[in-house]
Amino acid sequence: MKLMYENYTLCYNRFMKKLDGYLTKIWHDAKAACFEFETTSVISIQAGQFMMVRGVDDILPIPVYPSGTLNGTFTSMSSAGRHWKVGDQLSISGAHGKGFNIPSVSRKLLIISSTSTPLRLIPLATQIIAMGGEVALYAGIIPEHIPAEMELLSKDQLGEAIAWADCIIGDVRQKSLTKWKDLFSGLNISLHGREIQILVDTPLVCAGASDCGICAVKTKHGWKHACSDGPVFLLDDLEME
Amino acid sequence: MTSELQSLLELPSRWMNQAGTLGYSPTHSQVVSGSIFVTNPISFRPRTPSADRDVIAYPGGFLLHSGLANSGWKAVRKKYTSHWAQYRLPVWIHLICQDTAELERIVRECEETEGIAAIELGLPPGCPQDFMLQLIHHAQGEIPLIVHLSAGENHHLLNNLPPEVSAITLGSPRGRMKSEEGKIISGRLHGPGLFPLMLEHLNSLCGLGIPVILGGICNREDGETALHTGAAAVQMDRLCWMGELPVSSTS
Repeated sequence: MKLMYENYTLCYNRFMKKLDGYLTKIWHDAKAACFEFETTSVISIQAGQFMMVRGVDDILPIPVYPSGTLNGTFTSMSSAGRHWKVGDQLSISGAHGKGFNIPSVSRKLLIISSTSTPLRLIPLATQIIAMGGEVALYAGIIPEHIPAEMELLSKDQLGEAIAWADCIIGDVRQKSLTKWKDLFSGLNISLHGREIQILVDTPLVCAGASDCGICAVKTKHGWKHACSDGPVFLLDDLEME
Repeated sequence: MTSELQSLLELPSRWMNQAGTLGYSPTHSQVVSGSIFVTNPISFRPRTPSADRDVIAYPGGFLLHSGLANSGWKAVRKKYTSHWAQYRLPVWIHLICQDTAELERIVRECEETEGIAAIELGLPPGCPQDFMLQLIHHAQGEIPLIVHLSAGENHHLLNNLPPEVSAITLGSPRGRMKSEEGKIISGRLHGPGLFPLMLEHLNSLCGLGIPVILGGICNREDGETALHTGAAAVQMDRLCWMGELPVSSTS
């Protein structure tokens, strides 16, 4: 069966689930590699969570995330997994981590992306639009396939959009966190009191199996692991290293 | 000498995980009964992650640099003592310490902690041999001591090892690679591509009269080859992360 994810369900699996599957489709959207998988059973996964997927010859598994407008589409970062071919047998585990938690009353979603693709945030846009809401996107790179109803913003529209939105999400590479915060400097924008959920990109290796610490993120509550405590964090909780 | 010391170190299984691959608790679902559990490296004081932490893949393996972050012996012990006691697996505590008094204190507390079967001492890279020998001396106690060496480093120590050292573990070597940001990162190398090198090191150490436990093993076939080549036991590396950990074989 085609591997699907549940947009609306917070479904964090504490114990690692593993299943076998194979790749049914691979394509590129802007800089991102996108995939579809066929599996023997269903993994419940929500936007922001990830699965670890490993081909027979892969030394390390590759994290892939729900992405795009179509249920069942996944993406990796930095085009990892682009060597896979349709029909490749894959070992899949997940869902790992904690994803986005969008309040059910939210109808005005602002997405601010500073990574190589905002694709991992798009499932939430699709969700809000399906509920009759509105979505605005600020991103450096715009994917080919995004909801037609989504408004694209320029940097000077950000202030107004922040005031408009009832929910703000984003993504950032951990090493670029300061740049994300700098985005708002000079724009006379106050984020005070706004709860911003942000997907933090770090290397993900063990998915919590070894406490390897590679994905450590410094927060106001101490060091956290993106693989199990994240990768979605509240922006306010994050600290610069 | 060897046979007497070997009796101190129980090896109910010749398969175990490598330090850093399965956390601190043998409750992990991948640990099978009959194997030995080796903790992540633990220091006396808490260690924060390295600012340059990274994983960098290359053909045949990858470099991992974490900084060996851990919450320190006191916190780890408090959190996991009951785990170590509850599960009937021998637990080896992997210690990293650069202070002899602190090391001695941990060793004494390990002796008082149920479930701890051995101490595996990781030696800091690049320090003088005299200091390494001091650390080894202060890590000696009532429970077996295993000294962890990285392949290609500090092998000269082996000629001066105190007789109380029960075994050595030979871990995969360190290396340097360029990160995505262009920085040169130093870390430990992992992966099946290292196996021929590891086997060569094993071969050169096997005649020294001390049991050698070979780390960096990535699959069952390599583990069996190492055991047939003279390794007293093998430590599984990357395989742990793939959820396929050690084989319950006692052979």
